[in-house]
Amino acid sequence: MIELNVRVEVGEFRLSAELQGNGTICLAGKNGTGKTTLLRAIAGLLPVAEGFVKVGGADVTDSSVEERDVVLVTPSTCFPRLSVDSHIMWGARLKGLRPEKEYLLKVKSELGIDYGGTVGSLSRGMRQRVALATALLSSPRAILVDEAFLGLNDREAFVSTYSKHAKEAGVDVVFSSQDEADGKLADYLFVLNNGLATARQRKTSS
Amino acid sequence: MVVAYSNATMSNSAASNIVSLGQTAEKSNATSDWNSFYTALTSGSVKVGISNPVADPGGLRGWLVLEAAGYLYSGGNQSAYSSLLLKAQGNVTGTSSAALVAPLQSGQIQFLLIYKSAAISDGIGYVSLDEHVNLSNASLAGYYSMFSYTDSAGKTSGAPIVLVVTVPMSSANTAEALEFVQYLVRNMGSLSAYGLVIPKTALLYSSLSSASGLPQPIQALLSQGLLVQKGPV
Amino acid sequence: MNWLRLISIASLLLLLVPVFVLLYYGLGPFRDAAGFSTQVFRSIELTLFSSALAVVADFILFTPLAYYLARGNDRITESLVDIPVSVPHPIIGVALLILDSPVTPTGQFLLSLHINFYNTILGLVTALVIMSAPIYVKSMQPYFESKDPSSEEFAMGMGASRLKTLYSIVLPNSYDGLSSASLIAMSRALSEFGSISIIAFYVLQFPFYGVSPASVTIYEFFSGNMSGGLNAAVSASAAMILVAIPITLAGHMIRKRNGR
Repeated sequence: MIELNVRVEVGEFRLSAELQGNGTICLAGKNGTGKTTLLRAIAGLLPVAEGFVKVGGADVTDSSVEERDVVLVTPSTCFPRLSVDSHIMWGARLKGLRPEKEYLLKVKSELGIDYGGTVGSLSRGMRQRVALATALLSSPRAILVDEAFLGLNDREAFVSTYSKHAKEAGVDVVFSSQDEADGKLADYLFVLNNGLATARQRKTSS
Repeated sequence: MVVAYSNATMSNSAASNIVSLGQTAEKSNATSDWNSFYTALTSGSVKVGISNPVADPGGLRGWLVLEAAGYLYSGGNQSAYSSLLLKAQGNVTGTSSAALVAPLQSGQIQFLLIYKSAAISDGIGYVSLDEHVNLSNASLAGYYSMFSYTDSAGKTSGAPIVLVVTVPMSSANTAEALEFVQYLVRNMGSLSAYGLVIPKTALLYSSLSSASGLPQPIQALLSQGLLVQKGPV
Repeated sequence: MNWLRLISIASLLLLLVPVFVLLYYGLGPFRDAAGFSTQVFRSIELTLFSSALAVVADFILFTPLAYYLARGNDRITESLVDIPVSVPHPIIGVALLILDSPVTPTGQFLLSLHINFYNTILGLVTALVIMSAPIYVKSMQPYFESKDPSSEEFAMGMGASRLKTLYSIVLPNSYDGLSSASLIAMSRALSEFGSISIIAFYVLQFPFYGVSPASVTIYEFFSGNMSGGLNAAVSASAAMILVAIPITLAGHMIRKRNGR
């Protein structure tokens, strides 16, 4: 469950957002409406001028990035020197978790990761899949995806598979999109317009 | 020449021990006491500053002092103390003995072989050495010449330390400089406060065949009996 | 006619005139065997060895600081880093002398740990670290700033501390920045004189017993404290330049290669 009511200021830009939801949340809006700003605020990378952020039941408004247990994935996040498997296991290892080998293989195959070698040598789309898998296996409270679903060739199927795995693991996913129609891939849709978020109805459950 | 030490030296137990040995030897002037002093000094348990003989005559004289001491207190063995010091790697060098005063005061070295006048003007303590060792007595010139130091610059024999002053004829303020020389000769008694041995009359070293070639102010000092020609340069 | 380029090259040549003069005279008309003697080469060895050690120490001790300044906003700390190079260098030498003096509490403490700076390799390297760390930090900080922080934020989101992120994620991807900063810090250390002429005029430890750092040796030749005079000083300087220039150039080439 992600619950927030914040005012964030970045230079001249003002963002006001109030939202509540769990499972998969789609944050839609044109460029410059504040999607990245909001995601960064949830991740703790931007300070909140006013308000609160609650993730997974905990109030993380004053927590540092390391303590918050919220992972932000962007198109450029990756550790190029690691091999695919060590990369995906990186976050889990850091926390002392030991995912089963079968689980790792299952995630890899369902997310379409079938290359070996170092992550730096992969195509951009493949790197994004690896980063997303890494975030998933690190078992955070929430995963924020800032445009990192873009450019994947079977995007809709991927998002739905990913959301399914996240839900099974009890991890909320918030992803940004420029197209409101992507709301159909999520449980909740919030639209940002000039720094203001308006809620839409919950998608009919399926 | 003296063996100087500082307040920092006294806080080092081995060094303050050596200072007491030195003070005992100063009073008794006994060979055995001096031998104890020099042996302890050069044993390597303390650092002894002697400046680079090639760069600084003070350093060369420091080594000559050790030679003279070895001859006098160690049964005629000139290199007794100097070779001990070298073997124990107890000596520390520097560009000049003046450059070693700061390390002496801050305690990085415990003793320094330096001119008595420098020790007095720097306000540091010292052990006075016997005149057969400290190169101070002009009449012991022959004795001092028994000891020598050889290095890349050649062989230098021991000699009494004499402070001389000269005015280069090509200098810019010759007249004022010669006035200063006159002042110095007339007031040299005040230099005894710095441990310098003052001759009854100042001595002139000149290679000119007759006094008439000398600068006027110098001739004046000669005729007033304040200056006496000693020999050629 | 590209005047900007012309003026730039001309001003650069002006800057390099002393170096060219030394190389020409040192290898030519003023050439003196003393300038290429064992003593000089041992000095150059000592300088290279101690500078390399200083740079390793810079890396270990000051990389975290550079990263901290790059990712933070601490203007005060940033300006404090420059202090050692804003004071006349002999002051640093004197400070180390006093720090290490048995009459001060710090000196007594260091003595109890058998730490001695005067005329030791440790003292020499310590002075070099103090003098080269600021430029190391000044070089690594903008490098870190220019890196895309999203991977670091990714790691921190998964629970990695800033320090862990630095060691696991940032450094393994910073070899080019590290080599460039290290070489620049190394040239700084190679050229140091004021502080080391006081604290380590010469070194009294194996394997450099009785060896002075190169800058001190050259100074001693010049000031007549070592026989050889001007010619030896010029020749030794030429020898030193031939050693130092490749290192400096390498540092800057690596920078250029990464478009920085």
